[in-house]
Amino acid sequence: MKNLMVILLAAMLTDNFVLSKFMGICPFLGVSKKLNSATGMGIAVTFVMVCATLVTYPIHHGILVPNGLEYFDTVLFILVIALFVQLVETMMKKMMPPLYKSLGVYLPLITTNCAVLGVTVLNIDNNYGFLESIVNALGAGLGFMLSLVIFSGVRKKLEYADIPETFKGVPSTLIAASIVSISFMGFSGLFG
Amino acid sequence: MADKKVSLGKEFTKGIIKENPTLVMLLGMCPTLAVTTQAANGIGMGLATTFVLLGSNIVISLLRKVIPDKVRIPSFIVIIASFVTLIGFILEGFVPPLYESLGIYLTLITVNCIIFGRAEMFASKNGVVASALDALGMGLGFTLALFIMGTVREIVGSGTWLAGLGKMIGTEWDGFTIPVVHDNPVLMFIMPAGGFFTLGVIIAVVTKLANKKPPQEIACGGGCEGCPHSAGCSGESKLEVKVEAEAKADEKAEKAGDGE
Amino acid sequence: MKDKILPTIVLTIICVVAAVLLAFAYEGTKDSIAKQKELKFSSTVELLFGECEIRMVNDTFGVDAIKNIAVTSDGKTAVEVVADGYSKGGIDVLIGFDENGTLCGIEFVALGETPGLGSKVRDIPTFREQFIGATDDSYSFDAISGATFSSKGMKNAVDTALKVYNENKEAILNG
Repeated sequence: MKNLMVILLAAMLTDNFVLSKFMGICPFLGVSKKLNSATGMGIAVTFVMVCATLVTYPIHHGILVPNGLEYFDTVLFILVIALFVQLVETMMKKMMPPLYKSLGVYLPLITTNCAVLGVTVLNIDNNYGFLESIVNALGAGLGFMLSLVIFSGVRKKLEYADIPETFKGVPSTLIAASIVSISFMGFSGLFG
Repeated sequence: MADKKVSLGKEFTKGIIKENPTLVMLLGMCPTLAVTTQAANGIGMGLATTFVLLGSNIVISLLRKVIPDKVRIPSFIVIIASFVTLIGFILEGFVPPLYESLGIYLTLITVNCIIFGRAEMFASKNGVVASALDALGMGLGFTLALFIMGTVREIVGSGTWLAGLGKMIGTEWDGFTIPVVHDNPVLMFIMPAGGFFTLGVIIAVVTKLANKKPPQEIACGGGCEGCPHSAGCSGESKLEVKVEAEAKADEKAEKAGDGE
Repeated sequence: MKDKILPTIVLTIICVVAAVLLAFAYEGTKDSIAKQKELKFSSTVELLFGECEIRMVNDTFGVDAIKNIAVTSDGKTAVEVVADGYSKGGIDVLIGFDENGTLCGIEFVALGETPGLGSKVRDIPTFREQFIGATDDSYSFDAISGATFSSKGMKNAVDTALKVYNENKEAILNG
């Protein structure tokens, strides 16, 4: 149990996917301008990460490893993620229209979010068991959402700041991200 | 004939400076930030990506009339991921130091927006030669950007330059040592925070030199599937347009339902 | 009907062709990859013991962290251990024991720790020296400031190697 807690918190805070592993930077910078779209994207990514892990883990350990085909990991994982996102989108649209209305638009953007492929591959690389993999995916997703939500707050303030002309827009956003990333470094002593 | 040559040349050069994928179009940010703690890694990542880009652009351009529109995205993904696995084999077998230092980010070339974006925007609409040139130009532009990032971060952050490059090509040479900085490196620059900072400053400098307004938003709202129309697409505004469109479509559907 | 079946067929063909080509590429590069790994291992063993003949021990004694064990013709043992530093699996070291079972040297196979911080465990020579001479885990140990995680990871690696070596000395040396 303690082990699972450590994995969860590590994936969320110390090894935050966005701020220390640089995965999912595009949505981090692109969809963090408003709080509700940041939350929406975060929930959608967490959902897909956990579901993708649920599928890719058995594929790797049940099908690929026994046949010595581990090198198909990348191709199969990304295909699974793409098909899965499509499936979730279709199902949500048919069965849960209110949820689709709030999350649906983010779904197609997730296929190429490298944090999702990243977490499935890392689960394999780190030799995590099934439960550990799920917890790691959950932590990664929550950490992603956390950094998006925090950053949307920072960006709101940034809008009213008086910034030199050349730095307006993306450059100042990146520098703000740098400062948020420094603050996350404070977590690094969490597990001694 | 002459015209054609000029335009082919343009396909090649546009990616290097004018439409530099990283510094101007702001695509492929993840590897740009992640592997550039050393200039040599930046070059390696850039060349590996160029290889995948070249391969996928050629194959997709060849198959552009065969692949039905409906399965376009999965087909592209399979082709790209295959090339990534291939470059993985090649690097692991022949350039192990690079393979180790790129680590998981090698796998993540699969989801690099530049590759998917070029497949959608260019290779699926143009001939093989033009697509190959486009890939080479974009790839080299990406490599250049990574090299600049890596150079700044390595010199300031660890006081060396091109360390590790010699190992990759199988020689003993271990790069340059920068006096003064080497003994007092600004460690922040090789930490994640320094990556964001360096990229922000470099983009600001590039826009200043190009005498343009800095880009206001990331090009494709966080996903490459938004890229095909990226000319008019910018982050949230596109998302909101989509939400509105969907809402309208729903309303219509409801009205139609009422009518029955 | 046709526009429902056709895309599926095309996608399947693409997948099958890609899979077959990849399988060929794998077969083609497999030997080279294995050779590189061997080369890396044996060159690190050489750093440790100088030029020597080695025999691989095909057993890791149920410890996941142990990757390889090799014994030289004159009874020295090299144990390759992977431990977590600041990054998971970031420390990959070869730990050498002389013929009396005393730890006599440490060499790095790969180090995935932050350059300038965690990499101090490799770059500061005195850090490695404190492990030399150990026969069990009762040696004195100082972590490097700024590289606490990597230092602890190194200690873990050394402890694992010592434990496995001491418990299975007979099996390792006699093959």
